[in-house]
Amino acid sequence: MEHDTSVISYTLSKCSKCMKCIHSCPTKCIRMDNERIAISKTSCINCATCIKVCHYQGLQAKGSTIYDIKNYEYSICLVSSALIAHMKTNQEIEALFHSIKQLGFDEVVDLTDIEAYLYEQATKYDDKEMHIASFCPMVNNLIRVKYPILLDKIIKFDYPSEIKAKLLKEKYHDKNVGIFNLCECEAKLPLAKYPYGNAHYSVDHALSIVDIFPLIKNNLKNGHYDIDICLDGLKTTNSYTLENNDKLLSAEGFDSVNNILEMAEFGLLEDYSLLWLYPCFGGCLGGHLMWGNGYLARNNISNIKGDKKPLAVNVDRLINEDIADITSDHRTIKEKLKYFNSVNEQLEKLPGYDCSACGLATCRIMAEEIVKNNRSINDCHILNIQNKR
Amino acid sequence: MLNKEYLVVKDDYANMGKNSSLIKKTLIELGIDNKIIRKIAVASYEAEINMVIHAYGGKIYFSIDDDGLIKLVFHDDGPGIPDIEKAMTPGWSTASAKAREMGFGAGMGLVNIQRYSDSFDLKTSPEGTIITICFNGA
Repeated sequence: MEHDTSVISYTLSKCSKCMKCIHSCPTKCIRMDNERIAISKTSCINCATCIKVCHYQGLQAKGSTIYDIKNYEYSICLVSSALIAHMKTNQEIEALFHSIKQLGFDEVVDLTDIEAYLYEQATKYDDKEMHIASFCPMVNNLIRVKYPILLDKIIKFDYPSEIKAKLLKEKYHDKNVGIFNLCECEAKLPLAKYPYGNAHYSVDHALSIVDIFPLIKNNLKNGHYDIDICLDGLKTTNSYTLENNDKLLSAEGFDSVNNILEMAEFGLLEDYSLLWLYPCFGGCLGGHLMWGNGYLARNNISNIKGDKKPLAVNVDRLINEDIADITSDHRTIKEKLKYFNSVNEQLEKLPGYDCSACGLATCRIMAEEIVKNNRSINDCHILNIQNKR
Repeated sequence: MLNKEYLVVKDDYANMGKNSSLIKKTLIELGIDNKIIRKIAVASYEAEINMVIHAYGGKIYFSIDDDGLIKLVFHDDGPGIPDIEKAMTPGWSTASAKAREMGFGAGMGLVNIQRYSDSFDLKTSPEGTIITICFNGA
């Protein structure tokens, strides 16, 4: 299948060619070719590390615009639970939903009920073997790129926004319905038809919270909207409000998640039946596009009231086989070894500083490019300086 | 053909598993089947921590031949396993209190190494223990 694309875009005029983004990328998917930054579509996991380190705002991620509402007869906005938890009271949540509706939507819908049900089903999924929850696209892509051994451990449940969108499209099958998902992080932006052209999703448009916030910020105190919240769903947004026990291991932060995945690869976490991983600090509440602090938002959850029950859906409807798919390598072991050894041969000639001055993230990538005849050893700045001395 | 060698240091708890991590990374870069890498990762990690906890450290020899035979040799510097039969019994362990505190020493080490590998050979003497495990990676 086609993997979710990178949503990070690059502005040449703002780029100072400092190579910070290349150097900091956890999957080493950024390079500089012909004085321009290029981001690999297949190995970018949309973690936004590069956006955060760029001092010149040369990198950014954009969502759809709300002007797309006019293309639909009936438009629905999905509001992520992370956004709801950033509200201090139920009155503020009502005002939030009201102000979003004022933008021109016919209906504003929460995801708490489906998130609660997915969590409930994931905890019951398998008692005997360890599995990894699939709700975070960044984690799924991280596993695909860096921990492929664990791909078959991912529970093949679809994303909450996608399941909700499918149900809504069935409910309004006689109308031209447009579904907009309001996203709290870059990683969720490609989970829609637009703006990144992933036609297989039922969600039509992914909106970025930072784009919407200026339009609703003056309206967040008053307004009424009839909305009930499923508290169990709200609790799945960060690891502190989850009911941790000896079967469930949840963690926050990119390094912790990497560490846990590495331990899982060594078979050290087999006593757990479910890993629930948030690469962002504060869980989804700390999504990079959110305006507030995730840890502050966490304290709101206990103040919010709600009676909504988890939304029970037939388990078949939850499954998405493609969520942990990988393209296989058809080379023979002899071919693989030959390539690997010739890369290592080039690697030994390089300084091994991984300085990224050549525009490639690591010396290993440089060695691969030399083997492929795309670069030459003379492109290494460090070697050039050393040779001059 | 690929040959690599790694050094393991006794009681170096901070770097425990680092070599297995490098071996695993190489196997992923080589595009070996994920199910096979998982077996190798589990077995290699167990054998490596054994060298840190129980032995005086030693060396790991890692090789792959052109037919895809993956071979790992864990060669430690002693003191040897006094009773192999007991050591191969699930749950039996001589791990130090320090190691047990860190969650190691469940007594499944050697059992798991054998269970996860396609072939398993163990030779031991007071000069050292040599564990050789092989996997078919093709």
